[in-house]
Amino acid sequence: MAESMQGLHRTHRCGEVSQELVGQTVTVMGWVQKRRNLGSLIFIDLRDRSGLLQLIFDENDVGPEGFAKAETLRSEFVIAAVGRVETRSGAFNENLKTGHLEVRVTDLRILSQADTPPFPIEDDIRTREELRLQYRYLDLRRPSLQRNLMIRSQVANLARQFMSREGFLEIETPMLTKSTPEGARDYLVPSRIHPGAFYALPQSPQLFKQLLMCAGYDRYFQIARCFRDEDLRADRQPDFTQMDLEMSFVTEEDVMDVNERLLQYLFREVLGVEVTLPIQRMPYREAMDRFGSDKPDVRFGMELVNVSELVRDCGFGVFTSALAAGGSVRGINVEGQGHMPRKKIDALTDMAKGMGAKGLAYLCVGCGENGAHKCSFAKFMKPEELEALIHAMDGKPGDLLLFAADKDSLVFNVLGSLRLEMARQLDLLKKDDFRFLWVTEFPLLEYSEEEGRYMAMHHPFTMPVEEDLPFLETDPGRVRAKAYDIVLNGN
Amino acid sequence: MFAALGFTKEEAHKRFGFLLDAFRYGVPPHGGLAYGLDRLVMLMTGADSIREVIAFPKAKDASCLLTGAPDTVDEKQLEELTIRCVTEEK
Repeated sequence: MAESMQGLHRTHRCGEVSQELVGQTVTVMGWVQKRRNLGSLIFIDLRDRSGLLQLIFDENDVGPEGFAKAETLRSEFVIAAVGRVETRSGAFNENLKTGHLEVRVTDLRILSQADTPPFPIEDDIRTREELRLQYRYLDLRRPSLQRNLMIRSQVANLARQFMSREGFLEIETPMLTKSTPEGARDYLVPSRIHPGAFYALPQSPQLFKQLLMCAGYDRYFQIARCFRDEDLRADRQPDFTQMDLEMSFVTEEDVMDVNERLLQYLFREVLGVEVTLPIQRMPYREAMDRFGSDKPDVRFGMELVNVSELVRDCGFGVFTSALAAGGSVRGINVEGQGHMPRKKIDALTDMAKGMGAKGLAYLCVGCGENGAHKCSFAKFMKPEELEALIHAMDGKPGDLLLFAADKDSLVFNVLGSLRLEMARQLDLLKKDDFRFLWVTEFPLLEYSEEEGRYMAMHHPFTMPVEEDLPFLETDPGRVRAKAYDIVLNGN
Repeated sequence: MFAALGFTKEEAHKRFGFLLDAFRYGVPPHGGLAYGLDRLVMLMTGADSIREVIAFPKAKDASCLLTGAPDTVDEKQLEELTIRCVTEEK
């Protein structure tokens, strides 16, 4: 028994009803969040994407028929209500934009009834994600998701304005393309007209944007949908969106400059956060050495320390054999965590093993009996060697030192991950702290053990740094590229 | 560069000859950048996952729990595409 909205025109969204409208008649439409009956009065919290608005139904205003109708309202019914804006008769709700106001309804229409949803439409939700994804259209009614998508729209909109002002052209590139040689697996689309042949969905617009440069469109950007058929990994999507741009007749500095200013503009306009320019630059090599990652989270320290030289002649076989094989020994200092229970240290060790490490060496500075050190490898070391190690790690009594020994790439991966894990456990990652970083001078190539050959680290059309060109044939892994990435909080 | 990547000249040409050709007709020096908009918006909103800033995301196994994609298709569609599935349904 849905009613027509014929003759009604929505005048305001719920959250737009403001103090200045007191005394005026408004028409609002939305979803019933909640109904409360208070004797001769019925209160409805009406919701749309702008927020909540309280409606009050009194038989004297809405009539007996309207009041009876209001009594049938349940959560998620879609209604239209006409009424007068008033200052709330009852207590104000300071948590609500419209918390001082209510609308005294004179005309109610039920535009759509609703079944009971499988989970309540509210932010403090404990429903498992599978159910939320199955009923995504209900999940999307929740204020936090509505806020996220509204911010996303605003970001895209502001980015377009900014890029347009900077002289960029927004040009779409095709979705049905040719399979790309590098990178992840392609999603393939079979061709009906060419039996046995396939299109690939783009992993990025890389080749097309370079063709656009050849074609003279000297500043291009696109908010581009990309597709990668990757194995299950945390928080990846098979189709995702890139902010993509390309410029002609520019240096790396020019590209970084325009991106920095775009990010500064977005953060200022959307969040009121001031990003200081220029954004810090860090060569790839330094990022790996200090943070064990090519996208370091620099919101906290706990930097890696290379102690290879200190332990080169020690008696601990794990250290010395890793060094003999051309690897390194590095550590991190988790300050103040020396009394971490053995169980938790074991969990960290398991995590390291899961990444391919043979183990994890630890040293709890001064945390044993009578201020002795608790250390997994003390018996292999001379006391002065241990002290030198602690000194190099800037270890103070109560600190937890973790060491990994293996080939560099594994040591970086293990300690880089442990560093993040410890930061998570110690709550060091503040969401409202935004630390941007440019990582520069990426290697041109990286060796893939899986493929048994060098692969392009970014894409095969990256320019090498001129002075490294001689190494291309002799030592390809050493060649740096004119490639850079923007990193924010480790992403 | 392609030699270092293990491509023969022929392979490189087959894969992206169109771009190599284009470079023969006058290519300006150029450079660019791309980064994930999903992740940027995730950080800006304080969301815990990029699924929270995508209207219709896939689940962790790359399926869409709302629409049921990916799904089998009509035999007729496969015939038109000259495709036959050889894997048995799990």
